[in-house]
Amino acid sequence: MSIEMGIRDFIAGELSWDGSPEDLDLDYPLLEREVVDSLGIFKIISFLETEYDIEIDDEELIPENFESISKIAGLVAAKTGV
Amino acid sequence: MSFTLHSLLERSADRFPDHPAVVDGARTITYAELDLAATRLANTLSELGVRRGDRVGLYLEKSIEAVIGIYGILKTGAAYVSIDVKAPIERSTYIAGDCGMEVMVSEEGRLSVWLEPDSPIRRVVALDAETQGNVVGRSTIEAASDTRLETGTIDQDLAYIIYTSGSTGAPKGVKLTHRNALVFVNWAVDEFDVGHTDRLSSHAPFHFDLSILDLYAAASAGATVYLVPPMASVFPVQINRFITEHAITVWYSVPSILSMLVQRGKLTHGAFESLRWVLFAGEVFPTKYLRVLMERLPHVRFSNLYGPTETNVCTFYNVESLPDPAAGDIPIGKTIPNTDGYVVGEDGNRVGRGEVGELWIRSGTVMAGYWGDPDRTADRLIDDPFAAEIVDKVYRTGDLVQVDSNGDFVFLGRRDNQIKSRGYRIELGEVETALYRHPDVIECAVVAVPDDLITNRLVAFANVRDGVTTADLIHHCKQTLVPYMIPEHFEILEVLPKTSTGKINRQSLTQSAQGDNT
Repeated sequence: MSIEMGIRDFIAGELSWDGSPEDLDLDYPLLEREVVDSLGIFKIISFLETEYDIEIDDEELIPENFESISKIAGLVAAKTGV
Repeated sequence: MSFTLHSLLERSADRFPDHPAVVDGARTITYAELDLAATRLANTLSELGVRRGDRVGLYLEKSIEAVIGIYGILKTGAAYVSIDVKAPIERSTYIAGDCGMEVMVSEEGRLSVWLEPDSPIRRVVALDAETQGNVVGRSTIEAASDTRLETGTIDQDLAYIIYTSGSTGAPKGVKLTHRNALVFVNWAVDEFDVGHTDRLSSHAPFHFDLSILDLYAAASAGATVYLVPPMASVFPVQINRFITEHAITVWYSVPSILSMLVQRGKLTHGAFESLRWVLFAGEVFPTKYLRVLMERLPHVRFSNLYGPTETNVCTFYNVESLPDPAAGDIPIGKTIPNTDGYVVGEDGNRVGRGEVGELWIRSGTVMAGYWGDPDRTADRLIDDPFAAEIVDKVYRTGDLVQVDSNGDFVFLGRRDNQIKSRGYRIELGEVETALYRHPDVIECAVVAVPDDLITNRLVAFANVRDGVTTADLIHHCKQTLVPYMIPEHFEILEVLPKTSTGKINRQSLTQSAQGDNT
C-alpha cells in the first residue's frame, strides 16, 4: 500500500472522518476542517512512527506538515528516503 | 459591587472603555465596543421575546462574536447554553430541546441545522449573517437600541447551563447562577492578583467550565483575554509561540495541554518572561511533567484548581516547591475561602484525617441543580446534615479523597464509573449506551486504561452480530457521541468475560486492554 493510502485509511478509520476512505481527498484540508484536532495529532504521530519506523522531531510538528494527506505523506517520504 | 456577570463587563466598560477586552488572532475588541455590541444584541433578543429566566443557545466557534453572544444573552436576564459545534447534531438538538431554548445565537455556515422544520428553535440570531426569514442578522442587530436593559436580574438567577456526560446515556445540564460563578471569580481575582494590565489566555471552550475564570476574571479586573486558536492545541509549538507573542501573564488549561507543551513544545529554560501564573484543573497533572514545566519556568507560580462543574472550583493547591516524584500526585489542596469541605464515610459520618471518604462541598459556588431532573438533583444536592440549624444544601461530589498530614485534600478516585480524559469527564455508561443503540451490538463494555499524557484512554469491547466491523462501530459512535467520548480502540469479541455472578468482568477487560498496548 502506498504511504498516501496507508495514512488515508488510518485517518478515515480512527479520526473524525464520517464518510468512506474513498471520499477523503489527498488534498482535503485536515486541520482547517478539524478532521485532525488536538486529540488526533498524537494518534497520527504514533501511527506514523510505528508504521513507517521514523521519528518525528518537535521542529516538524507544525501545521504545514499536517494540513493534508499529501503533506503528511511528503514528510514521511522525506524521512524514509522513499 | 457586582452581583451579575454582565455587570462586571459594564463596570469595566465604564472604567476602561478603550482597553482591549478580547483579542482573537488579528482582531481586537475594546471594553466599550464589547459592551455596546452586547447591549445591542440583548435588545435584539429582547425584541424576539427573550426574557429573564429563559435559556438561549450559543452555537458558534470560539470568537469575539461568541463573547458578544454570551454577554448579550446575560444582559437579557436569560441563561446561556454553549453547545459544542463539534458534537453530533443529534446531541446538539437534544440539548436545545431539553432545556427548552427557542432562540439560538449562531453564525453563518452553522444556521441550517436550526432552521429545519422540526427544530425546537424558533429564531436564529447571527452577528455575521443577513436578516432573512427566521434569521435575524447584522442589519437588525446594528439598528437595535444601545441602552442597557433593566431586567431586574439578581445573583440567584441562572447565568448558564453546562451539559456534561450523563451515566444514563443522555447529557445532563448543570444549572449555575451568577452567584455560583461570582463567588469563584471574586476569589480567583483576589488569590491570583488579577489586575487591569494582565493578559489571560482563554484555552477552554465556552461549553467547558474552565472558561468561567478566563472570561470573568478578566472582565472583573478590566484585563485582556486572548483566545487560543484551535490550531495551537493541536501543535504544542504553537502554544509556545502564542504565550510568547501575546506576552500572556496568566495561563489556565487542562494539564494534558501543558504535558504536551513539555514533551513537544520546544520549551526552553526561562521562556515566557511575562508569564507569572499557570493554573490547571480538570484532571491530575502527572508529576513528572509538572516537574519539568516548573524547572523550565522558575519565575512562574503554579496552582492546581479542583472542582466538578457542579461546584465551579472549590479547592486549590499552590505548588510552592518542586513536587517529589516519589510522593505521588500533588494534592487538590484546601477549600477556597467561605467554603466547607467534608470527607464523609460510607456510614454518612465524617471521617478523620488520613481516612478515605467522599468529598462533600457546601459553598456559594455549588450549582442550583440539574436541569429538568429533580430526582438526580435530590440525590446529589442534599440538606447539609452537619449544619442542622442552618438550612443549606451540600453537594456530594462522588470523588474519593483523604486529608494528608498538611491538612490538604488528596484526590484518590471516583465512587462510580465516571472517568477523566484530557480534562473532560466521561460517564462510561453514556458511551456504552451509545454502543448499545447499534442494532447489531449484543453486548458491550467500555473500560478506561490509565494513560500518562491524557489521564485515561477508552477501549470498547463488543460482541456483535455477523458482519459488523470495528469501523461500523466507530462510525456509529460518531453519530451520537462528542469526539472526546469516542473510544480510542475497539475490539470485537465472541463473548465478553464474566464474573462468577454473571456480570461483565471489567477488571479482566481492563487488564487485557492494558496488555494490548504495552
